[in-house]
Amino acid sequence: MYFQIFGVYFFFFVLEKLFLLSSRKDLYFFTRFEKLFRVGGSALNSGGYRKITKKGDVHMLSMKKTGFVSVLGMSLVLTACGGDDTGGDNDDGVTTLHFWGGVPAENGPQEVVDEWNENNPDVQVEYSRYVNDDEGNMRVNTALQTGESIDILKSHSPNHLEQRVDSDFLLDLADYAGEFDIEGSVGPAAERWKMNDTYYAVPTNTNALFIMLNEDALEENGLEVPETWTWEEVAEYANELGSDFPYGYAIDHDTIHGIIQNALIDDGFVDENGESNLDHPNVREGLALYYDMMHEDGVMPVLSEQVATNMQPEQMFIDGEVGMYQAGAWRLRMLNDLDEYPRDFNVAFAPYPHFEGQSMPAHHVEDAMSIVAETDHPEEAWEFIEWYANEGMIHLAPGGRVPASEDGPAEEARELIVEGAEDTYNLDSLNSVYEIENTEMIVDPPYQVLDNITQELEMFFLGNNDLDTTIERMVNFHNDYLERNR
Amino acid sequence: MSSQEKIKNKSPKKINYYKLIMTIVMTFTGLVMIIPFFWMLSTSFKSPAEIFEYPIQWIPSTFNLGPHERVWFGEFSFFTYYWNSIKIAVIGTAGATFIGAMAAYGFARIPFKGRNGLFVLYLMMMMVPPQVLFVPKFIMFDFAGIYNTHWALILPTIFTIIGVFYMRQFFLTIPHAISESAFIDGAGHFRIFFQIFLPLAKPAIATFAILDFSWNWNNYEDALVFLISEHLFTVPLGLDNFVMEFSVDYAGMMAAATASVLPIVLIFIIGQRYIIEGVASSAVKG
Amino acid sequence: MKWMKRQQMIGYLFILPSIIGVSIFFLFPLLFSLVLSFTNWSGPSGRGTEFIGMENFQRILGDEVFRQAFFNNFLYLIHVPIAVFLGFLVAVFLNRSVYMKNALRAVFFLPYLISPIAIGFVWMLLFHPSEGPINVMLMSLGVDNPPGWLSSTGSSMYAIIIMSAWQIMGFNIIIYLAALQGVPRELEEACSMDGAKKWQITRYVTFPFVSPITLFLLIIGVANAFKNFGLIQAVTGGGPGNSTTILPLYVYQTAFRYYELGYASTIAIILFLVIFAITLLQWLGQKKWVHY
Repeated sequence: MYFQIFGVYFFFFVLEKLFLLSSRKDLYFFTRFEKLFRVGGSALNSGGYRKITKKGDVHMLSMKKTGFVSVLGMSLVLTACGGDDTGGDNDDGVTTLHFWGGVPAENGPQEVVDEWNENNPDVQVEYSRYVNDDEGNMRVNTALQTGESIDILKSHSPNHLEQRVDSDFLLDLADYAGEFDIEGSVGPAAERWKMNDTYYAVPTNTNALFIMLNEDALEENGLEVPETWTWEEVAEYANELGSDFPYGYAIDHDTIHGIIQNALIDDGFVDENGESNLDHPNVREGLALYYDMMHEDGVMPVLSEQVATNMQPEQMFIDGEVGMYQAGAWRLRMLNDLDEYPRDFNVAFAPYPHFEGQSMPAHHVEDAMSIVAETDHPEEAWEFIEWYANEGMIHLAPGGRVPASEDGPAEEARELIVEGAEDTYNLDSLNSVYEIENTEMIVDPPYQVLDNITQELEMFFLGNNDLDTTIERMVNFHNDYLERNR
Repeated sequence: MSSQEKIKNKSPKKINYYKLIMTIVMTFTGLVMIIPFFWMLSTSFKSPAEIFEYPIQWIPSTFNLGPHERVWFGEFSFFTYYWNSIKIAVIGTAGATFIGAMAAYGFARIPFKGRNGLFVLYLMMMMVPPQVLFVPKFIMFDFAGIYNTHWALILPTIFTIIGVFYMRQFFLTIPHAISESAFIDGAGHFRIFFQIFLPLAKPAIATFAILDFSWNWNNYEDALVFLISEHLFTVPLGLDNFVMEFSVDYAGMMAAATASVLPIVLIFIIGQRYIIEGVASSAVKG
Repeated sequence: MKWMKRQQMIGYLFILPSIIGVSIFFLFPLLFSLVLSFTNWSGPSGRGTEFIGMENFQRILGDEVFRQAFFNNFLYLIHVPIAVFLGFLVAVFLNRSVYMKNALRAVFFLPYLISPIAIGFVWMLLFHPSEGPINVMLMSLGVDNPPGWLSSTGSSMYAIIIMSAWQIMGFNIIIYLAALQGVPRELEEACSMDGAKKWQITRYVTFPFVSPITLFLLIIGVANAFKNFGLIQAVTGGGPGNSTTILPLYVYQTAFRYYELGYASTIAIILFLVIFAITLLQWLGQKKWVHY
């Protein structure tokens, strides 16, 4: 590190010396130049200067013109820009609710809103889509702060919801839910969204986690589609398939921390003493397993290389370059689209793996809908949310979304999520993925901890740090974080 | 016959030969420089599967016009985005150029008390990381009622610091002899500014205007945070429409990005005339 | 005396509009974040914010990510002089010794306008550790172990430096081109008749003439190196590990991902002081080589 700083200084040093050395000659040429200029200037003073003035006059005129035009333009814009009315009520007694979510309108929300608007002429809903990344969520938070542009909000991560709850942006749904028992109808998985012992949001979507398998390749290798399996077995499968494919197994690089969440599924990120649990034996086992798959067996892309070369595992899976791809229901939209993403094999589904003797991870419930505190129409907003969670959700099924509420049309949705490509799937295996038992909810650590884990894992899988160092560093960071936020 | 032409006539062959080689070298370098642009253009005609093929397909197997159609005739109103962007960029650039040139002249040519201190303060302000400005800016805009209007984007850009700095530096290269002789003739600062400096500094002003236009045109973060209503959106926000939930519609996005680069290129081609023409046509070189 | 006063008044008049705007849009927010840096503001609305004295500054001392980002940032700075130097060379060639000037100028400016996503995408292909053209070339030149570029912590920052230099070169070229228009042809010709070689003229006439602009480009370059991170975000996101994390990226994450705005302000203030110190050094050093 010091060497690098030294390098920078050295660079500047040399640069400066170069300038210094030549400065005398510079001066020489420069004075010559100035002299030349003065002479030229005075010689042409009579003719040349007037010439400038003349040109200047013309320029002056055009400046005036542009000045006028820009003033005109500004006043025009002033009237045009004059604020935007985002208020709720129109004169004719129709209530307009502004609904923000991260799903692109054409992937379902527009249809949901259209259906609602048709049946509820008095309460019209307008959908705005935000991009669910850091910047997009920052925009949402800013808008929430002004308090008048959003009535209903869909959050896509418990971390974001927590920030919003802590800032008093959202209403406690206990005051509105009435008959609708959130935990009762969504099940224990809903607890992922529970804050301050109550719910500020209703999760609406069950997002199944699974591993996609190239069924044709499995059959060729005489492998069964597993109904439950451990990480050891995943590695075995990957090695078997590794001979047929460049990679037997691949994941999206930004889900690398999943194995740690999985390892701590029963014991949690924090132990009973309030200390980090990241040195749990399961974490160790999982990381060693991934490391071997990347470096020893070469059946999984090395993490840093995957990031640096912009590897697209979903595309590689479809192209037959990856045997198994860890994903979830959200990828079904792409797989259903056989025109844009043609493939020549069938896909089977295996549940997310688990560690020996530990629970399986429950499917995520996501897309949590909230009422914004500043809204003038909380009752109407709740009505919409309840309807959305139970009936409206069906329009989002083609993107892999199954209603989380047990009153919702889950069966119907499960048929729709594969529509158009039913014949290319092993549907029995998909159904059994949805029916898994002995599950436990996955905990999401705060972003600070999550990002640190990702960085440490990158270093580990690069071979820069060994396993002990990696775990020690993760634990230290986590404990510091816990200490700071106690 | 100017002296330059004389030199040319003396040994026309030698110079042309050198020029030709340089042209070839520079063209080659230039082509390397714009490889990403080729990629952008070719991707905008590709089918999704083809985009990630390696080695790169520089010429798509079939020219798929779908992405461009999605941009212009899809469900997003790119014409509105375009109009908004033009409005913001034109007003912002015009204001910044004028106010910036004035301040630059003040800093470069009028000796007043505390000038250097003030200028260092300016430099300081230029160093402020924009990320920390968001929250205070937001609070101010909300208070002033210009949150979610185009003013939230236009006003901060009008008061450019980089423009003041740049034009000041350029004004400093204009020989004192010129303004002094005008001064002796009884011209005041305003006249010298309008009649001598503005025409003389045309290359700098045109350059700054082009750059400022491109910054305003590409301003993504301010637009993202300060604009909420879709009818106010600008072109960079329009690109976000091609970010799907779990993937990116690269073809559509690159089609939109291509469309978004064109106006700046147009402005550049128009403005370039002034950059080059500038001093060459005025009498300064005498 | 009266005349001097009038001069001063006119001077203030010229900069007044700018001063007002800059105070509102830059000075005030800067003071605001200075205040924030002594608080524990967290979360979007800052509910329950309290003054915590120097706690944030103490935290910085033990913050490893900050330390790494800080050093990375200095290494990252190298791209600025490289891009200024190359930009000057290209501008000089483009200014006199080529045909098709207009078209070529546009070509060199274009990279500055292309979306970071496209830039990132293509450079990631060029830097591909095993199949990328850069490493293929290195290997054919006899380099046995070419760097992994973006995929290794040791070389990722150098890849970023190359990309950044490439990206801001277009900007430098355009600025230089405008400045070169002011260089009097007669002077260059007089020198060349005196027997000076082309590179000598460039070095001893042209370069001093545009030195105020060079200063501008260096200062702006350094400031932007501490402010912008669009390309890094698009290409590596700061990784692998933290090897390409630079301070503005860390400020951004702390502020708008973790929503620790108080702490983010503290980092930003430190960052600000660092850039300012460098700029001041450049400003004071200009006497040695900048000619007005």
